[in-house]
Amino acid sequence: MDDLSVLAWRSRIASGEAAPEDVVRHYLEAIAARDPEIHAFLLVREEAREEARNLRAEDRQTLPFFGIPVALKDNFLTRGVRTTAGSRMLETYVPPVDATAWERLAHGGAVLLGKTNLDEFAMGVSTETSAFGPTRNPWDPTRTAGGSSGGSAAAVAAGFAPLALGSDTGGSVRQPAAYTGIVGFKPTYGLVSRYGLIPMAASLDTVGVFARTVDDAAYAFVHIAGSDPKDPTSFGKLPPAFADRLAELRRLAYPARAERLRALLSRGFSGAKVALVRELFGDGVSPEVRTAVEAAVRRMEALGARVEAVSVPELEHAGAVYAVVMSAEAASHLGRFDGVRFGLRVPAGDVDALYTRTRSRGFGWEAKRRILFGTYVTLSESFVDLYERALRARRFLASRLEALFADFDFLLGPATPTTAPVVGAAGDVDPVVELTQDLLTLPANLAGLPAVSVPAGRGSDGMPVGLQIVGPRYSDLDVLAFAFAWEEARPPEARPPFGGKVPGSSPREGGSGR
Amino acid sequence: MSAVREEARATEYEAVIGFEVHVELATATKLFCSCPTTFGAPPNAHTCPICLGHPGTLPLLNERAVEYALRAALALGCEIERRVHFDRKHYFYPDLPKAYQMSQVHAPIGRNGALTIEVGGRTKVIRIREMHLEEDAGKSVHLPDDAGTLIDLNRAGVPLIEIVTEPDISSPEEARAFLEELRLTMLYLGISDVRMEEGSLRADANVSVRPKGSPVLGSKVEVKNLNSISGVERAVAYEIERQVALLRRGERVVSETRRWDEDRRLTFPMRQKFGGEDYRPIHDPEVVPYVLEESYVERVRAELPELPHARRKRLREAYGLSAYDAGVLTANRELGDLFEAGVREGAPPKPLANWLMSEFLGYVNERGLSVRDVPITPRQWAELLALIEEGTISTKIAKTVFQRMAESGRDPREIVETEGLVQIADPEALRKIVERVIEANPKSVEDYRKGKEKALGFLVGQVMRETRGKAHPELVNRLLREALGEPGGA
Repeated sequence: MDDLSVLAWRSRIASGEAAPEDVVRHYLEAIAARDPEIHAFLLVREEAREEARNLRAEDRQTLPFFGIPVALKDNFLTRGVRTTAGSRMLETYVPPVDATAWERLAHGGAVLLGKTNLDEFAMGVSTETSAFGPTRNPWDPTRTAGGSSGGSAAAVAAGFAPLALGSDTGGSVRQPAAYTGIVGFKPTYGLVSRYGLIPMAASLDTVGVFARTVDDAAYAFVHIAGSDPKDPTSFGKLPPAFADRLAELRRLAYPARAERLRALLSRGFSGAKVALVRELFGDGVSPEVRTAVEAAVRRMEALGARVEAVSVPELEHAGAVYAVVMSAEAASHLGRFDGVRFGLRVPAGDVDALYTRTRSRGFGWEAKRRILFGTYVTLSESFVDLYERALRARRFLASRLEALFADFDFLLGPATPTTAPVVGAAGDVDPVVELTQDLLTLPANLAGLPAVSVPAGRGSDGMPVGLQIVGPRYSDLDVLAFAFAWEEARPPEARPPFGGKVPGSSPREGGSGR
Repeated sequence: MSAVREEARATEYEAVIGFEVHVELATATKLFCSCPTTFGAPPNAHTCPICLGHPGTLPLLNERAVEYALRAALALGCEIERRVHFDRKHYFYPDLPKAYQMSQVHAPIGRNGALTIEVGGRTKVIRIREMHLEEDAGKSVHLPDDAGTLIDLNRAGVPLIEIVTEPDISSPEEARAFLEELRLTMLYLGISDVRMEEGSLRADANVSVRPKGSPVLGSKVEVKNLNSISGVERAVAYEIERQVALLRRGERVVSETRRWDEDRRLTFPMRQKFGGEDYRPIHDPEVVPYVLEESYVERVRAELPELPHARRKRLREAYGLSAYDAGVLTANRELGDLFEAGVREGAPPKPLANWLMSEFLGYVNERGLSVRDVPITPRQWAELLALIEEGTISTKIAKTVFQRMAESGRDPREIVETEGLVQIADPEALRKIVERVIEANPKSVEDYRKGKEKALGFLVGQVMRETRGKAHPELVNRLLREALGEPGGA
């Protein structure tokens, strides 16, 4: 029962073997037993039991997510359910609307299990900047689960939920997925509506999926993807071939046809042309990550993939470009938290003091740092030198990556330079060190490309290693198919030991330290 | 200091004035959400998560607002920016929900346009530096006695265009003419109701003065809170005088923002809220840039109505109207339309213009109506004027007929016939009445014969009374003179 995937649950529910409330009970029990140690959730919904019971039985065959419990990163708005974005600023905020991605799952019959922990406003790489304490890695609670979607990753990895949504601005889905040994998929920018996702940097933000298997991730993705009239950046300008395929998959992706979905995804490696980007295997990549990823690449090669090393020297500047664009937008988005209309208000005699006190108390250090940096790069004296230059560099970088796809189907590399760091090790000191944890993932965000992190194996420290596959814009289904091929082909020793029996699953002394 | 002394020595000064005008667009919904834009709703009734700036909500660009802005930019002869995008202007204020205002800082939709105005019988071209689209902020209501501030966000997100002129205006009269012409142009374009008192047209004037002919600009003062067109004229006049007086005394004009107090008729310095503002405008990442296709721009251009300046010119040339008449008919678009439709139905232009400007406008204004509220069709106007022209009714009766038409919408000929208002122009019929009047008024007859011309008027009046105003006045006059012989005669 423990290692059931979304698709497995779906067929059980469809056949009447399991009732939605049994599924919900299973996960709520798992959460109650182990989440005090992991701290994946900021809010667990006991109401989910009743909601599962109240589902209309006749929908069990037809609704794609009928009875499936879902965990949402707490920066997805949930109407009537507190949404904090991991910040004191929104500690009591109850949004008036639902995020579209969640709404689509809910219309499909999904049940909201809870809201998961994240770095404050998704700003961080370890879920340690959360105002409500860090999330720990289910494989080893002394380590971080990554970030910023660490709560969602840990929830899926620990067996607290079969499916979770996260947001990925610079790697916030792929990096924690790699650290926790699960699948983390970031679609092409704009393919999944960002409506209701509290923005970090809107031109980079994407809605991502956490699942235990690639077909689960694909199953969820095809249902949440597609244009949303509430999000202009998702307006239907899809290439027709892609749109047709998405629609076809969505039709097929119902429980009775899950096998067909698998068949569509399964294309093997033969004929695939893969580029290994040298800059993504740089000095910062630890030997154990390098070894695991190289082994995976060799195996793919043996199975028919054509692999070639290439160099994109401009990637060296991706971190700086990202830092400028991201913080400028982040500072802009965060202006609305001023204590006037919603969220935290620290009363004061005059309005300037109200802003100052509210924002001083409401934001943590990471948010403040990004506000200051973002403000600095957009001041009129630095605007042209920093901000405009970064925008130009971003476009150039995107065009360089795009050009690669004339010759290659995918770019391949590690998702993270190391396995999951120890909690507290990143330190609240060096933002540059912190940035390096995202260095391998953020190019896909700068260029708006689809990318997935899929478990490649484990390092000598026993911790999972993630393999990153990046494709051109709108190659989402191909990227997933390639990941699926790897998932099928990987040797037993590279398979993560699923089923909630991950190392460190035995209760530990000391619980969830902060 | 020497510049100051030089200014003090100057005997003649000239004003240099530029405007920044905000025009609220009359779209049904806001610029980035579907909240209604109607004026006068209870506070915060017209708000939603998007215009309240809730996190996670996204702006949805109102394409009608873009079309309206494009119409204005084309009407002002601007070069058109083909890629519409928005920038965020950052500042903190309680009535600015997102702490940034969506505007077009880097690429205004229109640049380098012009508006031709007429002042004192000559025309002048006022250059338009730029015209951009932006969202309005909300309204803060400060309670008395520091009891707090209330915020109404109904207006937050309402689409505006901001029109920035070059400093080409040099007198209060020109300032007034510019704003009137701009206002009228917007009305003709049908993109705004431009009511200054409701804030749908807001003007800030930048006023400076310098010795006449000096190439150097004086210190600029921004005058705000101008909420009527006559107020603008008064405020600009006041500010010019104030600045000239300062310079004459050898003092400096401080560059500052001042407010116009309409009651006291003076400007006073405003408290400066920000020093050296930096709005840090960044390209908004949430609105997809919107490309104005060539064919679309050309279609909007082709659909532009005739603008006031062109209409005035045409009315003068095509119908021989005076500049004044053409001005009055153009200043009210519907009145002008009615005029032209009446002419098309065959009404003689000049008499129709007179009727519309005096009798008709009088009727409309007295009752607080608008042109369209009066149910007289252009064909009926042509008919009324034909009845006068052919002598069926006198001008006096025509006024009665007009009243009936305005109230009922009935045809004038029918009114004339059913109410027996046809003019009596038959000399035989009138001669009998004339004789009766002469008999009945020997005193007046005598007075007339003694040379009192006034007495004839009385007798004419008597005939008119007998005929209940239907007698042809000139004919009555002639018949009376014939019957009475020459005044002063035997």
